[in-house]
Amino acid sequence: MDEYIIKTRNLTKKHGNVTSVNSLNLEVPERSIYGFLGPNGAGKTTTIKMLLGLIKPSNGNIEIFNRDLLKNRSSILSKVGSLVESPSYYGHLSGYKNLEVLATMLDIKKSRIDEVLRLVRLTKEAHKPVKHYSLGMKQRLGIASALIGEPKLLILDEPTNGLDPSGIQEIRELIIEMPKQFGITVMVSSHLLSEIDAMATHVGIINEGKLVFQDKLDVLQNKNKSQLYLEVGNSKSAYSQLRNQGWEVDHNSNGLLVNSICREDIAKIVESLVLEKNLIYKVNEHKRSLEDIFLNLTKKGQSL
Amino acid sequence: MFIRSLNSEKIKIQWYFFFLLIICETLINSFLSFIAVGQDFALNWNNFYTYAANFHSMFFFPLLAGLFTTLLYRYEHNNSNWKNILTGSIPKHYIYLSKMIWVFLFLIITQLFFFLSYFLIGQILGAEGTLPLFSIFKSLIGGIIAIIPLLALQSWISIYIKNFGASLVIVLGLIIPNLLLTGMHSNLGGWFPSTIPFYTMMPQGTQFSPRVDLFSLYIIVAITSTVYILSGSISFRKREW
Repeated sequence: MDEYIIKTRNLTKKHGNVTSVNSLNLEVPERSIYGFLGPNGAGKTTTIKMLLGLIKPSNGNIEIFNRDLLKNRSSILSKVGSLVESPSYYGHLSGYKNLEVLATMLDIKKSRIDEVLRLVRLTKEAHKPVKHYSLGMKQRLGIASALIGEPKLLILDEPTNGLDPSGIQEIRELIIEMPKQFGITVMVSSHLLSEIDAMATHVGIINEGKLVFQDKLDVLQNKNKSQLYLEVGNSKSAYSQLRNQGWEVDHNSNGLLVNSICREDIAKIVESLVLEKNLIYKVNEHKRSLEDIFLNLTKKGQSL
Repeated sequence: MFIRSLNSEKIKIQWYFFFLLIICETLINSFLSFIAVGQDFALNWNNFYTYAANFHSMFFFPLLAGLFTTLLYRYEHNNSNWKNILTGSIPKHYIYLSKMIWVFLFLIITQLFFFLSYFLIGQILGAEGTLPLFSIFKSLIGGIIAIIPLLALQSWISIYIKNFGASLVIVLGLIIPNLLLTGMHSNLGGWFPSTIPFYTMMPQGTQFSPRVDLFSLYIIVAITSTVYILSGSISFRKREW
């Protein structure tokens, strides 16, 4: 599974002096659901627009299906389906006609239109004008148009933005089915960690244009492990003492964080600290949520 | 592949609305020429054509070119459809050119409607003499060729103008100065794309006739068309969506 469907090297986008995407090295494995996570304005959409050839990178290169995007734009894009930001649609046309516009342009047989409509459960509303659709239906239509060319890669930018819980659930189920049923690799962006947590197999976290984390979702979840928090009199000396004894420790101004909560370890740590005349005020379990990790990685916690 | 792009464009067009615009243009222009004829007692097919073509070529025909283009671009600017069609596996400038071709076809239809209305109203008013079919044909074709620079310029502008109202203002801004510009000799006025249909469609040798040097005018048409079409499709390809 080390085959990467999307691979970027030093992908950079500058608008004048502002660098909105900075030396991104994305690696999206085949048949994964890659969650592309970051706060609003982190550069997610800009990155996705570059992956789709809508805007040109200032620097770096993009390989999709192991081929250079700029040199093989048409042939690569014929196997990529996408949904960028808000759904695109012709309001005066029916859902069916909307898909027909794309099918005609991309030389796709008409029977495929019914297929994708069924897939996103819009068969009943197919012949109503799209301007009367609800946001959720428009979004499903957007996914149908992304799927119409039987893509091998699906790139979805905030596909659940603005939807109600049941709409979110529907889209989520659709996305999870993609790799299983059709062998499609999905890249999905979101600013909500819970969203990515519910769907993704791999995660990339972007903040201020830089990739701050990229790995399997499990790795991120493992950071979620509980830690032992000790409030001590002199954290510096306690820190170096535990360090010397070989514990995995972190320290801040008045406390220590130990990466172990096994009962025997706690007893040993407390004992050794007390023997060295370190004052202990508090011992408790510290659980980091994924949200904490996310905020920590994106450093938004500090600015609030 | 280009045919596919043309066909796909066809699905989006609101036919009834485009034809409604053409019919409105025909009616208004017929009405105006009808009024203008009022004082002319020796009405024949030749001088009636001058009346009919006057408003059509100076205002309405270029106006429709602008309106059609704006409408076709509106489909994409609304609900950001650019993202959808430009991520397809089709060369970007095909989309740009297909839109232009559809507007061009509608303008040809407009010319046919113009001719029909001229013929009908002429019959009603009892125009005398023989129908100068050959010179009318020349005038209609001249109008169609002459509209290309404006059509190309309008398409180029429409890539950037998302707002429908702003786009309309620009269309009018290009056309209203025709009142003054068409008074100039075609060697000068021809550089303003909105004026050219008037130069090529109006018959020569009447009190309303513009001063035209056809040869140099067509060279201007060729130059400006090429410049606008090329710049338009290059900026369309380069534009960041």
